[in-house]
Parts: sequence; C-alpha cells; structure tokens
Amino acid sequence: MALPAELAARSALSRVCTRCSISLRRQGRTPTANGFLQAAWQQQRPLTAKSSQARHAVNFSSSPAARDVVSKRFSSGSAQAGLSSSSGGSKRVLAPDDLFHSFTNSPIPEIRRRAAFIRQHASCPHHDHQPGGTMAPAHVDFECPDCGLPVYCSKEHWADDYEAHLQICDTLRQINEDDHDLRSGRFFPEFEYAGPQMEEALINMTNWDTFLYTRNFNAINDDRSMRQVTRLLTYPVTIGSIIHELSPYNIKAGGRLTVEGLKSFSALRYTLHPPKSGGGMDVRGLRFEAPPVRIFVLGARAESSLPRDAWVQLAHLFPRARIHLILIGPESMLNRDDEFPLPPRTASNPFGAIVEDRVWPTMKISTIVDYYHTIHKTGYFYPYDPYFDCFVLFHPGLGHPASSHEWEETLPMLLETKAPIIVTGYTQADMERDIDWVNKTAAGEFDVLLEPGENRFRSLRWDLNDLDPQDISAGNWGVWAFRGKRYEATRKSEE
Amino acid sequence: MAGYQPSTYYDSRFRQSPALIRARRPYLGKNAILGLGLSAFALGVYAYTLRAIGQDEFEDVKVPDVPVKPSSEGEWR
Repeated sequence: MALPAELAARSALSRVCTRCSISLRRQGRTPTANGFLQAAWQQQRPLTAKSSQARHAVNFSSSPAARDVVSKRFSSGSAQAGLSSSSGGSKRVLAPDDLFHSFTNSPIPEIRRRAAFIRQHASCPHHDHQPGGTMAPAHVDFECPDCGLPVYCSKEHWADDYEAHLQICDTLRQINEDDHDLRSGRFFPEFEYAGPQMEEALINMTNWDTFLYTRNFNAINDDRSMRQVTRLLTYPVTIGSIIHELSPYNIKAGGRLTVEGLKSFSALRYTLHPPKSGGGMDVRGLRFEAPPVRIFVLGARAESSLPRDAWVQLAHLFPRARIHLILIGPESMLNRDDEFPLPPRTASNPFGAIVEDRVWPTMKISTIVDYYHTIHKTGYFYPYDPYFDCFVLFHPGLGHPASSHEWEETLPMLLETKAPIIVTGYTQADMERDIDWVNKTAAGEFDVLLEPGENRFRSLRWDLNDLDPQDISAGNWGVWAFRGKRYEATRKSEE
Repeated sequence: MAGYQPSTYYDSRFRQSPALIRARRPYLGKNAILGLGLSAFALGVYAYTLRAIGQDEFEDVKVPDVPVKPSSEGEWR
C-alpha cells in the first residue's frame, strides 16, 4: 500500500487532462512541482513504442471521484469489501449539509493540495492577460466565494469578468460539493450495482432513470448520488446502449442511427442476442457456441481501472453472449504497478496482456499497455469481423493538437477493419473537433453510423480540469460512431 | 437476507420514491392520455347503453283506460 501522501498526490494529478499535460511539457513549462509527476515519466515501461512521447504523466482527467473510488474499491478486492472499508474504516468527516468548502481551506487535505496545484498551474482567463492585452499572463489566486475555487488572479479581475464567471459558477459549486461528498466518508449505497437481469424483464434505455429502474438497481433518490454513480456507469452503459437490440437510437427521423449504422449494429446484435440453444450442463446439452464478441477500447485511460463490477454491468446487458473486453492504450493501468505488475512478454503472451478471465462467467477483460497500431501491424487480433468486433474510443482527443498525431497512424487501420468505431467526447466542442479531424484525415473513406449528439448515458457529474478551472466537461458527454466505407460489388448496367 | 425484500422504489407507506417518479416521467403524458381514452370509451359505452334503453317506445302497448275489473271473484279462491 502506498503512503497516504503519495496517494493524495496521485489523485491530485489524476485530474489533469492528459492532453493539457502534454502541451504543458511542449511549452517547456514542465510541472515539476510534484515529485510524483517526474517519477511517472522516469518509470517507463520497456516496450511501449514512442515511449518518450507517450509517457503522459497523468492518468488524466477522469473524475477524481471515479479514480478514488476505483482505487479504493479495486484494491480491496470486491465491491462489498471496498464499501465496508470506505464506510467502516474511515469515519465520517463531513455532514451532508456541510459539503461546500473553499478549496484552499478545505477540511480535506487532499483537496487543499489540489487547490495549491490549481494555483500553480491555471492562468487567469481575464482578457487583459490574453495576447494583445495589457498584462502578462498570471496564475489564478483569487477564490470566488460562491464556488470556492481559485478562478481569477485578483478580486478586480473577478469582479470585472463576473458576467462570464456567472455562467459556470453554479456548476463549479456543484463540482466542489461533489468532490467533498466523495471524501466525506459517508456510506455509498449507490455503488452497489444490480445483479443479472431477469430474462422476462426488458431493459428500457430511454434515460438513466428508466435504465436503473428496469435493471432493478436500488432506488437512487438523491441527485448527488446519481451524479456519482453515473460517472462510473457511463462507460459500460454507453457501449451497451448503442449495440444493444433495445437501443434508444433508431433510424426513424431524429433517431440518429443511419442506414449504414443499422447494418453494422445489426451484425453485432446477431451475435450479441443469439436464440436459445437448448443447451444444458450434461453431455446431451452440449452445443456450439459463438466466439466472444470483442470490444476493443483504444486509448484506455481511467476506464481500464474502472471497478470490474461496473464493467460486469455490460455482461448483464447481454446475458446470452460472451464478451471479451480488450483495453488497449499506453496509459492503461497507469500507476497501478503495485496491484497489477505487468506480466513479462512471452511467446504465448507477446504483448504482456493482463488477463482477467471470468470476471463474470461470460466476460473476460484483457489489458494491454501498448499502442494499438503496433499490435495491429503484427496481426495479433486478425481477422476482424463486423459480426464480432467493435472499437470504442472514450474521449480520444482525435483532433486535439496534443494527441492527434498519435491517432494519425491508427485511424487508417481502424477504417480498414470495417468494424464500427464508437467515439465519445467530453463536450460538444471536443466532439466536433474530433469529427472535423476525421473528416479532414479520412475524407470519403468512412461512413457515419451514429449522428453526433449528446449521449443519453453521459456522466451527470461535471469534472474540473485542474490546469484550467474554466474548462468543465462531462464524461462521455457526446457520442457518435463511424466505420470504414465498404465498397460492395455492383453489376455494370447492361447497355 | 433471504426471502422477500421490499422494493426500494416505494417507502414504508407505499408512496413512490423520487427515483420512481423520475423513471415514470417520460411516460406520464402518454399514460394519462391512454387512461383518459380508456375511461372515456368505457363511459361512452355505458352512456350509450343507458340512452338506447331509455329511448324505448312503449306507445304500441295498448293500455286500457279503465282498469279491467275482475270477471269473477270465485276464480281465485
């Protein structure tokens, strides 16, 4: 177990957007303030290609919340143990009506450290500091009394720019309270997930509330609890909501699914929802079974450390299919060497995959700490079949200036597989930047399967980017899907 | 605990919890329209039946002006 201080430093850093940390380093402003950051860079894993560029120091922005809960729950083995350790082991620090605190004077030391980090790295957004303004860039120092976050360099600038700040102040306050809630030491009944689905009961994927109700979760009445639990469940449920046969997206007008999308997802649904085979446990019940559906999560970061019982929710959506979840990315399993030391690369396990077989009888999770394109080139996962394969990219930052070069090599390979590629984005701007980049890079080479738009199963919790408190985002805010264009054989018209 | 567990979506007095109310909200309007339609149909059938029966004509039944006097008293004894 790591020292408490180190843990705190970890989670403080876990909040920095990876892409921003890259751009920080490009500018030469290496955030050396934190010893951990450097340690993370030095500790390079042997076989990652381009490791010098790839060592993004930070397991990024996925919510602090999620990360903390994740590590807490994961390290203790099971959900129950995690819950009891978080509720019984640590006593309650904050009352439910006492969640708002200034970050700088927070009763939680971890949040105080985070405030110090924001003060050292975020810069004042006032227009005087912009290029062409009258003042040099300055770090934030003044803490808004309404949201408790350091957002401007001085009270004058805060007052001057108050109109702009007012637009996000409420959300920032909500983030503040949610962060304190997560560390309040309370019991978290919402993190007890539902078990397998009754065969007769259909799932309603209209929105989070109908989903949780028809999946037979315990009632989550509080909005704050909803925000905490959807931050974790958004990953499996976003995938499930698109490839499930009861998907809320359809080809009616406004249903966002395109004809090509229906073709692609119907192929997957054919495998995911097989008819009853009449098989049983004895010899006479032996039946052929389809191979597992492979869901590749590329560029996996925080989702690779998601509690496994959250991922098992994906298996509960498809009780008759087998699912192999493959998390690939140089940043997957980052900072988790204590719990999961990477296995050696052997002939039988050429990429050193961490295999967690049977997290559920129908589900297997493999994690590979490497770039996808290096694996693709070896043909390790070949052949790809649209009936069995699906790619998911959770906020990949395809168009982000700091990370788009990493995707340049991968994108043609993904298009070549002709398997559906589901992409999410933090905000509308983030998603549109990705779409523009794909349009520019692979113009005419891809079909849109799902029109871009807000994700029905987005995280209801907002997250803060510690390098820029103005930049608030929601996990999986938007979702869209595309795949490589298929050229069907056509007959030449007889003349 | 084995056995029956009460649903968490209702409180001890069987009132809906906020989570259930939120889950039902998308269907509130459609359910209300369906309910109104069903009850309107049932009431319509009922009203039509009453009206149809109430309009029965008894004009063709001949009613004597003077009550018919019993012909003989001994018949009934």
